[in-house]
Amino acid sequence: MIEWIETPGSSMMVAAAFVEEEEAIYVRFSSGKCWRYSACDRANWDEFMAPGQSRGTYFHTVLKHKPGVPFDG
Amino acid sequence: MSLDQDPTCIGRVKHVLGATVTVALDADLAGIAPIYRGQVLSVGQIGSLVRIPQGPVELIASVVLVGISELVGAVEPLESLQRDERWLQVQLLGEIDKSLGKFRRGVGTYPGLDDPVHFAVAEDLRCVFPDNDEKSVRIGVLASAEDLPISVDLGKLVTRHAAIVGSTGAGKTSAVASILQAVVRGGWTGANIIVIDPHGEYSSALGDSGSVLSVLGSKSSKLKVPYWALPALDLPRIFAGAVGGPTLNARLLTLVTEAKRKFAAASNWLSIDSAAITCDTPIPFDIEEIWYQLEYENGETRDIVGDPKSASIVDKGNASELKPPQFKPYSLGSLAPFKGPSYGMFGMIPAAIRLGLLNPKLSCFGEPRGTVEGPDPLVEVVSEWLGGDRPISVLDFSGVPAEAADLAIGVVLDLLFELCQRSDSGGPGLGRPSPLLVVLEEAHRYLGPNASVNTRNAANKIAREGRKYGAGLVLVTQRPSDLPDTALAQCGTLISLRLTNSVDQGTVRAALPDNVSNLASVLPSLRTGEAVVSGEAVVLPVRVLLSRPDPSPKADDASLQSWRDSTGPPDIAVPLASWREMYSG
Repeated sequence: MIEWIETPGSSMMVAAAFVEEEEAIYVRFSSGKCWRYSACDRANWDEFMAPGQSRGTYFHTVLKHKPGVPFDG
Repeated sequence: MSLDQDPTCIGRVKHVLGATVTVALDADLAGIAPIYRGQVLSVGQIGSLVRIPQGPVELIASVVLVGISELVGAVEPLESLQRDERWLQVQLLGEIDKSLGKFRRGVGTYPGLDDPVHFAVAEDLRCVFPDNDEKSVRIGVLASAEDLPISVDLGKLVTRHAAIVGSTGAGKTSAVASILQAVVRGGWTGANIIVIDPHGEYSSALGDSGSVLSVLGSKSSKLKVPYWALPALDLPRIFAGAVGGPTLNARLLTLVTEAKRKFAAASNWLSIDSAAITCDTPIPFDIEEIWYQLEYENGETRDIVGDPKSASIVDKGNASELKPPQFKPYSLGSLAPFKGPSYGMFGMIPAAIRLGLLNPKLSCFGEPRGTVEGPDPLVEVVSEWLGGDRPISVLDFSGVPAEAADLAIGVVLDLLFELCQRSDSGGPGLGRPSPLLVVLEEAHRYLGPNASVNTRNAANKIAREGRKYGAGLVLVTQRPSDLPDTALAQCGTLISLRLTNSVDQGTVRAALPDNVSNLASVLPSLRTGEAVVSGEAVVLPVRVLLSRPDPSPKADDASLQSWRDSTGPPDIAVPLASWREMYSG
């Protein structure tokens, strides 16, 4: 069961989740699509969700370069 | 009481309750160890045998309880005994047809009250325990009549599985060595017996008649378990001694699958659909290339995050030389170089894999490599495991880390089972056409919950399904209680040496047939090399003094002589250097 966390203030995504056992970050975009990005550890997640951190900026500089696949969930 | 004049008569039947018979001993009998033909006989020994003549048949029974009536209290069958009377309780096991001179299990008639009971001497029991014929091997002598040899039906011992249990020092290794030596000396020269030897104990005992392969051996005596035959996810455990995280595992599976498909496509000797190849299909691949790729991705920095071509590489390194690539360190903040997408995600595992590949103690996993030109390297490997034309093959895993040995043993067991499963009765192959016997020392380690999944599955598969495919298993363990419940139940024959742990005794008691479960009471007091043998390979459950192996295995305890002889502290430099080798390139 993925525990989604809302990402208010971001125009490109609405929620994100981290599954430690998979070392993966899930992102639900404003378009409704979901993607799974692997090779993400807790430090990535903490940086991504840190207060004051722009989710969009972090996504463009780090997350989108991780191995990613569309996720149907 | 007036007993028969027969000097073998020891008492009379006083109580019969099903197969349990209470015998009042003759008051004139000196102790419970009469002298017969100049020999003191152990009539009152638990597990010794008595006979009760019933006309044309003689009932054979095993002593399960001895006592004096006043000390027993309210044990129901003894109510008919007089005060101070000494008694035996015996279990009826079978009967000898005197006219045919044959023994059969079970009894057709029960003894009557006051019927005389005799101790059994070797001559009486020869038809019960015929000496070794073409189907059997001699394993020792009857403990209560040492001039009577005891043999086991080898067919049933091999194909119906067996267990040899006993505390440390009880004689398990000697028992295994002795039985296997008897097999070879009995002319079973075409046998396929593989001894999994985690402690290197059997080479001295079986080296004359068998092939000995060791993980630390050289050239022809080297045991080879190619890494590419292992499940891909076990590779970090073998070479790095660690379990990979989810990112590493996912990447490893992808890389190994791709490498195996690439090899298969280029191979002259493999004809297999590429789509059917998985990361666990036993096909050669280059592990150094896989290591290099992991090391690269784990340390990669880039000038442009999204561009792999912008890698900030300082030294490309070299996969075949196990030289890792070097990158510029990433910058803090928003300046290049940046971390690559998988930077640091594999932790220390790529570096540890490299050390594992350099470790001479793990070199047994590196051979054979296999080439695209062929031939199939597994044919050579399995032939060597089977000992070539030798009847016994000892696979000595001593010297490698326990976890690596565990995984390698799993591969050996799995592959052997698969071969047996795929060999038809009439055709060539292993199993039904030519039965296989695997002797698994320290069986609790490989069948129990602490074993690696693949090893446990492979061992359990042979235990559960091996019979169908002609694969037999001899489980050797000092902790029968650590075996899964079903493992002992699968064993048709149980050889129980001295067991001091009460939980283990309980496990063996539960595994013995109901009518002789009392025999388990002797387990803590058995002599070294003495065993209770029961099950399908013997006609009756018996106490046996097992033959001593010649030559002996290396299972002796350490000698304390050096404590007297040595004048200085022990020289630990060599073992320390050997240990350090595991961590150095």
